This record gives sequence, C-alpha cells and structure tokens, in this order.
Amino acid sequence: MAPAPSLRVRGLVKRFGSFVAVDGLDLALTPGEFFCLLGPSGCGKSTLLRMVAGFETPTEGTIEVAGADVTGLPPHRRPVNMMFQSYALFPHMSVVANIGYGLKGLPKAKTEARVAELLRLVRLEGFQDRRPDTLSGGQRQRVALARAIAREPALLLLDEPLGALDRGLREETQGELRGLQRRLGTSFVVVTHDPEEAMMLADRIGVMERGRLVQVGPPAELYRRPVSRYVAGLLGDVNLISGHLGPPGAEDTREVVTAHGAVRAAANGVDTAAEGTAVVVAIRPESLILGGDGLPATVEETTFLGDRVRRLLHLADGTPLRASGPPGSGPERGTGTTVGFDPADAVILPD
Amino acid sequence: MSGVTRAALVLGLGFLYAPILVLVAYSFNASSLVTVWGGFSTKWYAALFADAPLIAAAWVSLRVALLASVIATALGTLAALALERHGRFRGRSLFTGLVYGPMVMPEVMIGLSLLLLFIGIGLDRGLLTIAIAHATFCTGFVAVVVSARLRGLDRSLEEAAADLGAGPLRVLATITLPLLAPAIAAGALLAFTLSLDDLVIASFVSGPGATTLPMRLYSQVRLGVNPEINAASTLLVALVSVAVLGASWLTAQRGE
Repeated sequence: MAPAPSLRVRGLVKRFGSFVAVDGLDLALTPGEFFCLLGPSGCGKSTLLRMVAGFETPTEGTIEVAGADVTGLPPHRRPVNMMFQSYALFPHMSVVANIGYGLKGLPKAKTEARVAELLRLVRLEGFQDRRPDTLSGGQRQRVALARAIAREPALLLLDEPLGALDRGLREETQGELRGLQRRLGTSFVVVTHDPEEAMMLADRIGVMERGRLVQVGPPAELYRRPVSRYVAGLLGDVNLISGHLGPPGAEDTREVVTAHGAVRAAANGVDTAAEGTAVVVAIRPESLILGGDGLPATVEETTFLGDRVRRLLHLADGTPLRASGPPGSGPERGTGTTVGFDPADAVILPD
Repeated sequence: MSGVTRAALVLGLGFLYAPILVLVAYSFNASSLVTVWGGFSTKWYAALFADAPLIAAAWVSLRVALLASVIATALGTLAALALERHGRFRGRSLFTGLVYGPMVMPEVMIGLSLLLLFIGIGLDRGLLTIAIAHATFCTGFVAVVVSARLRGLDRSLEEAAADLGAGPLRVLATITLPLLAPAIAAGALLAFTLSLDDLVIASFVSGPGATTLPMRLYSQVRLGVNPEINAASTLLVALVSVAVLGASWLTAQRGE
C-alpha cells in the first residue's frame, strides 16, 4: 500500500461572514513533496495554510495529516509546524530558547543535543545566546526555520518564507531551503506570490485564484500547458492570439481560425468544445519562429540582451507579440516577417 | 517659539504646578507660620517622623495600596486578556463598559454604594474594605494599560508557541505574560498611586481603626495648616511622582 499522503484536504471551505476565502478545495501531497501555493494576496492561500496549522476552523471539509484526521484538533496537537512570515521569534528568549521551545518534555541532554544539531544545520553556531533583535534578517529567518523543524513535523508550512529578505539573499536562501527539504525528506508547503520563486522551489505548484485551486502540476507543465490565461500570464511572458475553434479532429492538436489565417495548437482540454467557440492561442516568446510558415507581422523593436534578442512585433490587426531568440541574424526593426510556431509549443485556452 | 506662546506655556505650567512648588518650598520653612519665610530647615520632617498617628496612617495607606494594587492588577490583567484575546463574545461591549465604568463614576457614588454593600453583608469596615473599594476603580485603569499593550502584541507570537506544541496555559505563562510584564507592572504602579492618594472613597468605607494618610492630613488641615502637613504632602508628592514616572518608563519599554 502506498504511504498515506502527508496532507490531504477534502472539500475545504472557509467563509468569513459572506466572504468566501477558500471555496471547495481538494488537494493531496505525497510524502517528501515540496509544494508551492501560488497566487495574489487575498486569493485564500494564507487562509488555507492557517486552517492546516489549526489557527482557523474550516466552515466545511476535512484535513488529514499523514493519514490522521486533524480537522477538529487545536494547533498544539497537530503534527504540523509552521514558519511565520514575520518569523514570530520570541523576543524575550535567546536563540537556543527559541529553537528549543517545541522540545519540551525531552530529557535535558537530548534537547541540548538536538538544538546543537539544528544550530549546525542552519549555520548559527556561536549565536546561541543572542536575542532575536540583535540578529540580521537572514539569521532570524534561519532561527525561525530551525525552530519550525525542531519537532520533526510530518508537514512543514512556510508562509512567504523569503518575503522579508532582500533580493540577493533571497536567491541564495532559495537554494538552501530546497537543499534542506531534500535532506530532511519532510513535505514542505510554501505560500508565495512570486512565480519565479515557486518555479525554483517546488516539485508541484498549485495556482490559487479566488479561493480555488485553478491548476496543480509540476512547474514545467504549468508553464507549457496552462489551463487559463491567468495561469499562463502568471508564470511568464505569453503571447495571446484570439480566434475561433476549427472542426474537431482526432489529433492532439486542433485548428484555430484567426483573423490572419489558420494555425494549429495543442488542444489542451478544449478538444470536445464546439466548432466556432471563441478561444485564444497562447505561445511563449521563445517558441515563436520568425520567417517561416505563419502569420504576417511587422517588427516594431529589437532589443539586444547579450544572450538573446527580444523583438516586439504586431500582427496586421495590432495584436502585440513578443519573440525571444538567440542573438544573430533575424528581421530588423520596421521590416515585415512571418510568425509561426510548432503546434506542440502552443496551447488553446478559453477566451 | 514666539514670545506669546512661551508666556502661555509658562503661565499654563505655572497654573498647574506653582501651588505644589510653593508647598514643597514651605515644607523647608524654619518658621512655624505657614505664610512667612523664616529660613531653611528640615525640622518639620523630623517632627513628622515623631508624629505617631501620622506614621500609623501612612502605614495603613501603604498596606491598603499594596493590597488594592495586587487585587486590581490580577483582575485588570484578566479583564484585558478577555477583551483582547477572546474575540467577539456575547456581551463584549457591555463587559467593556462594566470594566471601564468605575473609572469615570463619581467617587462619592462608589464610596456610598460600597458602604451600603459592606453594611449589608456585615463586613467589618477597616483596612480590607478600603482595599476592596480601591481595587474596584483601579481595575479599570490596569485593564486600560494592559489591553493597550496586548493590542500591540504580535498575535503570531502566541500562535507560534501553540504551533510548537504549547497548550493555552503554557502559551500564557511563557509568552503572553512575560511580554506583558512591563504593562502589568505599569498598571500595578498606577493602581498603587491611585489608591495611595484617594480620600473620598476611603472616607466612606473606612472603620475606626483604619485611617489612611490622606484622611489624616485632611482632618489635621481642618484644625489649621501647619508646616508639618507641607512636609508630609511633599513626601507624598515625591512618592507618587516616582511611581508615575516608573509606570510611564515601563510603558515605553519595548518587548524586552
């Protein structure tokens, strides 16, 4: 039998008065998975995290952690730990007392050994007697992390763990966090509003919008096969060409009739939709092929970026397009060209 | 600052504090006439400490203030925790009003109603009844100070403690109360001070054996002001000032 999911959420709903923060959510995490909840502020991702930790009571639905139903349990009885966005370090306690706070009940020698091990793990040896307000932002973040993993939780929740760090430190810490998660083998759920961070950290990303999970999958799948314009735009630059569905076919791709000609793109779930339905074709800038078979377009601007060249184009009806490719020959500014793409690199989305 | 605002400031502060300064100055007056300066002397302070009834009254006041501030601090802190950490329970607004009410109620009314209560339940009037009476109106002040601090306290600290396996009592003992300690101490000092200089309520609920310092001073003044009263008042002002300064210093302290 497969091991129980580290987190399983069924039909979860949270209402605050008439406001629906989380709207019927289902999710299962495999043990040891690094999962990112991605979405704008107010999409319900933090509320979901707080319900898993036990700080909010779900209006409907159940929460299971490592196979055990925890829906009715108070926070201190759940095998879950959380790292807070503000870190929530206890200001009146030393680094050691902060990290060891959750280890109450262990013999003193064991607590000391465990705290020493954690200090080594987050590279804070020598800081044990310092107060949190004498530490730098990065050091505080590491104390908070050490404190949260001290009890070896079945599931670690991290609310914008890198939000308070500046950019350089952030990239370094992302790598460290990923490495730490692999070594511990604990399931991590990270809440973030930064798509790049989510793609860098996660095994799977769940995109949330207005209290619902609109798409869950590995970063590459979300990038290449988004299910909506919202997801497509969230994970990077995307070109959108509107048109109408052509006749259904047996293939994985389907024809879309645009104002400039017919193109083919991956059907992506719209394979059964009626002919003539309004849709958009989404193509990433690096997938646009200039100068081959395709739709006529004009180059508006060319920008040399060292490792690549970015071109701004527009179709005859004014639809803007962005193309990105290796530096070298290509159409110059002001010239006409054609834009095409491999149907497997483009996806049809509902308009 | 222009000349006019400066003059206004001096006049305003003078109006508030000049009488107290005059009182302090005359407590060091060698003459026994209150209004005539006869040179510097500390003899009234010496006389003060030889005045047995006055010293006894001071002891009563200190004991009453200590007892009243302990009761008020405990009740006021609990009231603040209920108001700030138990969400919007039924009757919360009413409870808020009831806690803060005695702060603005006329003292004569508090004194009289408590006197009737103590007579009604047959409690002998004395030190204990004064302390209870003082605790009733000091509780509100403690609750105000502590709940202000509690509102500013990051909720996620208590949540983090619960998340790390601490039950509600351990969270209270190891996180909430230590972080509230400066506010609780400030509230206690405030309660102590308020109890120390209360005259009206104490007059209603005291018994034969329990005369507080303000009651003693007031009864002496009715027989005529002597410099000894000035000396006693100066000491009282000094004690209260230290307590109030201490309270405001504690309130200004950060999370440590």
